[in-house]
Amino acid sequence: MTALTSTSPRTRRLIAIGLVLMLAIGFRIFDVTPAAAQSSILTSWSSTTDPGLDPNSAVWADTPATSVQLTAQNVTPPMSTGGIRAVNVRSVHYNNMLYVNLQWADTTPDMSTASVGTFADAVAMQFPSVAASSVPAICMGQADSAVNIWQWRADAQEGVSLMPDRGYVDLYQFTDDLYYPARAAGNIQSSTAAVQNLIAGGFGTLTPLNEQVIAGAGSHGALGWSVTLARPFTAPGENQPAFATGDMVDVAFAVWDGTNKDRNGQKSVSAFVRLEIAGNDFAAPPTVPASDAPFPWDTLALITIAVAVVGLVLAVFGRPSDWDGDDQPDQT
Amino acid sequence: MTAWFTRLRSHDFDSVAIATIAVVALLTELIILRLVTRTAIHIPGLGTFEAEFRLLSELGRIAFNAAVILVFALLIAMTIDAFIKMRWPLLVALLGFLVVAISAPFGWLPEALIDSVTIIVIVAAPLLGWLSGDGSLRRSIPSLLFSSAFAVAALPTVVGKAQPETTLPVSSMLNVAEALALAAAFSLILYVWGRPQRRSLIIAVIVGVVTAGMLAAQPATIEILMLWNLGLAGYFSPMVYGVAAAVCAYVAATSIRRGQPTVALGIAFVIAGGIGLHSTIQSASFLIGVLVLAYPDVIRRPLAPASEPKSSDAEIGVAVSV
Repeated sequence: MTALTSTSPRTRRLIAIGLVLMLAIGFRIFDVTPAAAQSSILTSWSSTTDPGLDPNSAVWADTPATSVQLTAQNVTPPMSTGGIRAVNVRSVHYNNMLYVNLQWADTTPDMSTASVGTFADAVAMQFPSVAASSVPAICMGQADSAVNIWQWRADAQEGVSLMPDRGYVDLYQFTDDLYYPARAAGNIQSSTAAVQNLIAGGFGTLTPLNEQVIAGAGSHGALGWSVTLARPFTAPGENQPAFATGDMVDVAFAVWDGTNKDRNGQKSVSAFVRLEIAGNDFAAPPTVPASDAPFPWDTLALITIAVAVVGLVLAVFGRPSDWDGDDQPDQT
Repeated sequence: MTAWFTRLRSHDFDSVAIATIAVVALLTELIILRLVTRTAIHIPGLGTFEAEFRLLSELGRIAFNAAVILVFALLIAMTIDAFIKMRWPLLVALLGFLVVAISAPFGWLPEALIDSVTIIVIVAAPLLGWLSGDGSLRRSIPSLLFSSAFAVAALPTVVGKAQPETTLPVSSMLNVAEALALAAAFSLILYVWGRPQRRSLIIAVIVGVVTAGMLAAQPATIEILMLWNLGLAGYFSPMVYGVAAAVCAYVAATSIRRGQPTVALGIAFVIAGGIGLHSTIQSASFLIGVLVLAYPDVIRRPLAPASEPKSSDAEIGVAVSV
């Protein structure tokens, strides 16, 4: 320390800044986040009952909802006017299966896209493909940080059964993929699944994943839609988040209102909120499931180093007030 | 132990230097990580520049980590300074925040507790400073307005964590918070009340016109950027935000020209933090900002051996008389 204080103030400050930068790079290399998020939390409670895919399951009536605010997607065309203002989200997990129930007010169900001017209601959840210290861009991710999207569509669920009365469908006797080239090519618009498992790394990169494992079902009532999505905890493939009790993952939501002619990017979107997979039932007081998570030794080690560096920074930028040196900085 | 306390009491920090470097790191992170990389996704054919994009993202993340270290170093320096000066309310507030913020990454404390302490400290610290006579009323007004904006914006988040079944008029509360934040920005003029300075006015007009113009021309993109970075949803007219930005720029420029960079640093910390609960680092930045604006000497250069500490009103008096 004597050698350090004998150097010029400029040199000492450069050393301190260098140490701070080295530590910052160390945090980055080991992917340790020295700060903690304080944004809203959506809790996925442990359930003793299987809620199934029924959007009106009794489990949801007893589960606390988190109201997630939505705003118009108006970053890139086609922009939205923001028809849907909020979505009430409930989540439970049962037998290593994550269930999410999404409810939003929409008095006019739009379940068909059979004609050019009709658009379907839909809802989607978006997860960062890989957990990181910072979330990717909310708008479909970014080049170095993709997002995994689960999208439920009312028209996909209903198929052609709700064709408008004047609609006409030719008899098409072929059923195998050879005669459905779009389906054979994996065109997401030809999928017959109600829920699609997608990935995106920026605008115009939305692509269906090979693992179409998201289950879901929706139901429309007097107040609006209730949709349940479900997926096993285990990641079905690359670029898809795995879940575990005690985990905290980022998630964002989007809702399309067919009556408002919402489609594609014209939708209402939320910011990222955090989904906590709780180890306990909501009836029990929330606790940190410390026993389920390994002690974060790496975080502790790096924070200890950080404290040491902070001490050094303070030592460099501080001095005894009666210090009679000739390097006294100017008064402010 | 007595010797340690004596040694600690005789210590003095160049906290202005730490604050300046911390602001540089915070603004670097704000510009690179929260602005550039998140708007660059709109550039067609970005994939061609993927390597450059990744490099820029990494620089932003390293700046973020550096900002965290420097902000907490500054908070610790401020805590030691509060101890030396026996500012007990400020000391308790800073210690309380440090404990919850440093423990937050470990998940040892319930988030609702961490958030509640954050809100209480951000509201109470400038209020107690004014009540205890450490800060003047004039200095306290902008801080109290900023703190109130933060608390109103943060309340739905903390209530949602503590009482999930409670519903609040979230949209209305965010609008109120936004109005308070704008009022706080306007009230910053109290710091440099007096004869206008021409160069500062020119800077203010440029900043104000650019801000209002961008909001009027590209409301969607700018509103989303404001929401991400400042916690402001853009509820009011672009002109209001233009005037608020102009006042901030005028006060920052004037205070620097008058030899009071702490006011400019305080404004920078508040902007980097944004209103509402986002992360412990943003809350810490906001807390430092309101404290710097409320207390005249909460960050300062080391005192010369013969110099006398300035009183808050004396500093305001100098500011007014220049």
